[in-house]
Amino acid sequence: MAQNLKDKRLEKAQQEFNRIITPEILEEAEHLHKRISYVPPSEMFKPFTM
Amino acid sequence: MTGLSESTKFIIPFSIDNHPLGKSAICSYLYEYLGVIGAKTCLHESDYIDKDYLIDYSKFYSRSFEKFEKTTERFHFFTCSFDTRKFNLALKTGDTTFFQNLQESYLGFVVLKPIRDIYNYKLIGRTLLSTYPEHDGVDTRCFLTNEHKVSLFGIPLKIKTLPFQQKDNAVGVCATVTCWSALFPLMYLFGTPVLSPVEVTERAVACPSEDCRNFPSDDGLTLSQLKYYFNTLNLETEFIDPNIRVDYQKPQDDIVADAIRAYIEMGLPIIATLNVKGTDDYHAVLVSGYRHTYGKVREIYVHDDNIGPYHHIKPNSKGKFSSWKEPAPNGDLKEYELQRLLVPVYPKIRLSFGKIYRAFLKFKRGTEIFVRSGTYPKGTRTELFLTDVHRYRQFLLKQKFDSKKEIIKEPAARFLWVIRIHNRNKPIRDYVLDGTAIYPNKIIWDIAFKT
Repeated sequence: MAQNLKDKRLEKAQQEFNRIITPEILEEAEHLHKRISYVPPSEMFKPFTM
Repeated sequence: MTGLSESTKFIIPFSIDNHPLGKSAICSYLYEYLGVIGAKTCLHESDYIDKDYLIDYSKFYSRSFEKFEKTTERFHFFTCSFDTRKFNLALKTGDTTFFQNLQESYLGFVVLKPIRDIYNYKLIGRTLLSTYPEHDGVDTRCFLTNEHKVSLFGIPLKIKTLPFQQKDNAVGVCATVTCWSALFPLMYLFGTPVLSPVEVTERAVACPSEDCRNFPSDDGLTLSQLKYYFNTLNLETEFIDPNIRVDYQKPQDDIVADAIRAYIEMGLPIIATLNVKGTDDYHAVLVSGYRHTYGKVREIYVHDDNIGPYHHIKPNSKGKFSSWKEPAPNGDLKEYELQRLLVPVYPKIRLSFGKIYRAFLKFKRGTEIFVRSGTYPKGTRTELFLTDVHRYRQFLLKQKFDSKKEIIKEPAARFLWVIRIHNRNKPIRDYVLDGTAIYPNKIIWDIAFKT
């Protein structure tokens, strides 16, 4: 019974969430992750000396 | 030089004009800071054995021709007033009421190392000082803190803070000291070992760099060495480029403020790497907190080993934290450009800020539409933060919402990303996502709070 309620609640939440977080958003999230976390090799070797 | 040498000056009234720590720029900063947080009394503990310094001493200074002392001085600060006679009497009689008052008025301590900088000032060692007050009018300050136990001649004291110390060109400059401070919250969260500055540098320089010398370490560490260093502690590193453009981003959005809020909530340290504008000089500082008005970040606080703990950073003229101005040791203002945020994270936190940020912005824009249409009241905001399931359940216990007892008992991921819609800090709705997932599409809970 509790499991059914949880499943129903979660399904409803997931459905609503999927309307906002579309496959397109997910795909672009991957691209953004790569862009946001990219560090150019030259920057990796700059020493912090101060 | 410190102004204390006689036993009669064991306890002195705190005064901005009387610097027992010395006259360096950092000491002046510390004294001003202590004045702001209400210091009234200073207690001097001589021949204090500080573990961090002792390791630095054994690995570096003990092999110098010049003789260095093995012990340090420690200065404790209190908001209450007392003198040497009163303190000594309490020690003799074991006055627990007096000791309790000491605990309640304790502001922390500053260790002064017997090592001198190029200007002949003694270096500031491990420093644990209380934060600014949490509330200031409608503003709230959030800090990265853990509770540290302190023993003063057997009197148990404790302080909630993030440790700070000044750079030491022999064993570690800014990046080393920043990593050292970062270790304390990481130890509390994930059990990672706490190392001394010399041990941090030793570990990091195992990753080769273009610079020739490891010690004396004034050549500094590189970003690749920082990454390597955290990886040796079995942690992952996340990099965030503050200058990236993101869909759904509006001019009022600040990715730096958003990332800082997101990770400080979890208690994770954030290293900010900076470039002095127009030069090839690079600096690293640790973000130690922020101040906000109902979710809008007004200033951030950093532990800057050149300035001191909890140094305020104001947003630039565009209202963003992508560049900031800081006083240089000579008093001039230096303009820094924020290059990168580096966040050491536990490997199970697989959903990165970069992956969830766009989804968050889409929710944020949606909330703004609801505010304009009147569905949500004016002043409603959206925020994003990482948390763990224990802390989140503790929060849920205090809230009212449907199916509360069922939801609280449900199994959930250890790490959670929360997109929260709130009005003046009162939560309206939480979208809770699985932080151990690879993609931002696994919703765990969708909770509408009742007022």
